[in-house]
Amino acid sequence: MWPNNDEMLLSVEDLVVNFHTVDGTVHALNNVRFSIRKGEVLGLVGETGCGKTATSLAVLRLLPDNARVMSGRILFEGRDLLTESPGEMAKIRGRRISMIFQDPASSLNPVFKVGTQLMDALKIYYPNDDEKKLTKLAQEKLTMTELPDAEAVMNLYPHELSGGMQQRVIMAVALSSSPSLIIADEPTTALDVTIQAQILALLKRLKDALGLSILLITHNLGLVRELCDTVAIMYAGSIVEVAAVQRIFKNPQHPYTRGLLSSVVTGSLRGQTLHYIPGMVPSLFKPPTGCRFNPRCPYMVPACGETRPELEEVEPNHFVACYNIPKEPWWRG
Amino acid sequence: MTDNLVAVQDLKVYFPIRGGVVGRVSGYVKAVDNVTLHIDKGEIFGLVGESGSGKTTLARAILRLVEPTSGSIVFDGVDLLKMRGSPLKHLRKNMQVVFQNPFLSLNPRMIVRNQIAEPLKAHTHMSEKEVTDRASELLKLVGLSDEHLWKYSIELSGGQAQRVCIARALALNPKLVILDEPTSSLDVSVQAQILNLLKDLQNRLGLTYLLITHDLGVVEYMANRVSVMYLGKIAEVGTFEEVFKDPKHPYSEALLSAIPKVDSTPNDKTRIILRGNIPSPTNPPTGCRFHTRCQRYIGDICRDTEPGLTTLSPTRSVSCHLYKS
Repeated sequence: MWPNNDEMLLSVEDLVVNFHTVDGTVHALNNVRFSIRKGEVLGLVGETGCGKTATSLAVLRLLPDNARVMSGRILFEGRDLLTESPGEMAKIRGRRISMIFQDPASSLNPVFKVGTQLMDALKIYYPNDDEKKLTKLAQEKLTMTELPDAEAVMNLYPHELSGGMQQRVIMAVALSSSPSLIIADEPTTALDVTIQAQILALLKRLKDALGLSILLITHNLGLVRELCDTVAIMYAGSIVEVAAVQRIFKNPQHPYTRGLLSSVVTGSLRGQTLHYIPGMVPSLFKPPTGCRFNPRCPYMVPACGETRPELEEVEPNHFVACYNIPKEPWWRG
Repeated sequence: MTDNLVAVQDLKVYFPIRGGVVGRVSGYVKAVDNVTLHIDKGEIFGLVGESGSGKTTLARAILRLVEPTSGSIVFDGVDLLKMRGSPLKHLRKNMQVVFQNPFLSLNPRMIVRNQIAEPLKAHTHMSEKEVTDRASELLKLVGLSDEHLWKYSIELSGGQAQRVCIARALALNPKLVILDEPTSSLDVSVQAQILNLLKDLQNRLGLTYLLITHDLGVVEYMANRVSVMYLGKIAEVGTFEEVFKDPKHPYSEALLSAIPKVDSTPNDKTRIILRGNIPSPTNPPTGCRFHTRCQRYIGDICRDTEPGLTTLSPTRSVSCHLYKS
């Protein structure tokens, strides 16, 4: 079902990850599968604790010590990252795959100048270049993220920059190695709305100019609609639906996707009672058998409690993991 | 006007910046600068703006958690800033607040029942039995049950914890509830449940809300009237229809267009992307505070003269030179 051709950049297959804690085993990721083509932006969407960040850490092999990858493959540029040696992995991490985190202030070291931090990264990627050449390169990277007066910014400490400028510096560091994949974990959540719009526009321009692939991790569905080509909806450690962004919003199929999209508050719902998904996210110490959404699902059939539904193609490039897809048309397209 | 529950007039809240060995005042952060607004009885008044715009400081001044520098706040016909001691304590029963992060607002070492009991013990002479009964009644009101009385906050989900905070805020039958980002730390589906609850409680108990949030979807869904703040000043105030359907101030216009929308296909052409950053409130721009980023800058007047609020209709005022006749 997943085209495995030259276009494919990252493909995660049946990834199962458990965390061992003093209270027992957390079944965090349950057969996660998705893929990203070259130049594609994939949005990984879900609520707190559904495994979005665990998935991205698994791709970078940065999972904490108590995590165990039980099975699965992570194919990136033709190699299985799960079988690479730590040395090889260190060469991929940062160079081929970069990461942008939510809070730019905590991603930068407060006691070093911005220039120093950017140069540190560049020295690793271009060990043969001299200081002068690297300084010029650093300024180029900062200009690429549309920071005015790159030369002056190099001499500033992170606290002298606003949140939006800090995030631009982080993006410059992430781009310093010319990676092919960027994992952006809630890149605009910590920023104000008008600054968020600036960063969003910048991400779009950079993506087009550099042909980047982006794995965007977020719970902000508005952001997804703006930036993503494809969306993967995640619930309690499983991917429940994957489709092109227009399809997800026009015609969501999985009951969880529908529930999630129904609960987004907008002014057009004024005067109506808001929809919500009854019940609570299950504990991953003892997740429900079968489909993990079944205790909260209004469309549950007996099969849902028995075996886990696989992602199946319901229309071209639209995959849904559900035994009983709702038949009524979607009300909010 | 007797319909007002809160009337704020020319309110200024300045925080001194002290520096050096002697702690000399070297300047002021003008968090709230000359704000005039009123909140009617029974309405939901939405206050929107980005971080540092003074939304929370304004709310804290109404609660008298910070001392205003000048101006007046009339609460239910009483001049709040002249109140001291026990009459002030008495008045405070009528105003309560619910914050963003319920786990930071609840004491992790106290059971739910005792947290709801705190305001009851401070303001009433109820017996332990009466307190428990009232706490149980309040939990039912917010959709929880008696079993939650004996739990600690870590045993609750985010949505349940926020319900406890709402129950505690309602314990003394307040007139005004200030909701400071009440759903921002919650997931989408939980957010919808809390908003349904808040709306329902407002209808049933005739409450007045001051809703502070940066989530414009929530404000558009909930609020009767809306005020947009920028750098300590009110940019625009009007009914939700006026502000959302036809924003007049260039800042409101840009803010509304900048939000990524879920229920429409994105359109980059209509989006206004503001230049630059929000200036520091210690050294705000002269004239109109928005002029450094304004997409409709009309000339020196914006830089030199502060616009002040222009009344456009009985419900609507805008602080912009474009609308000065």
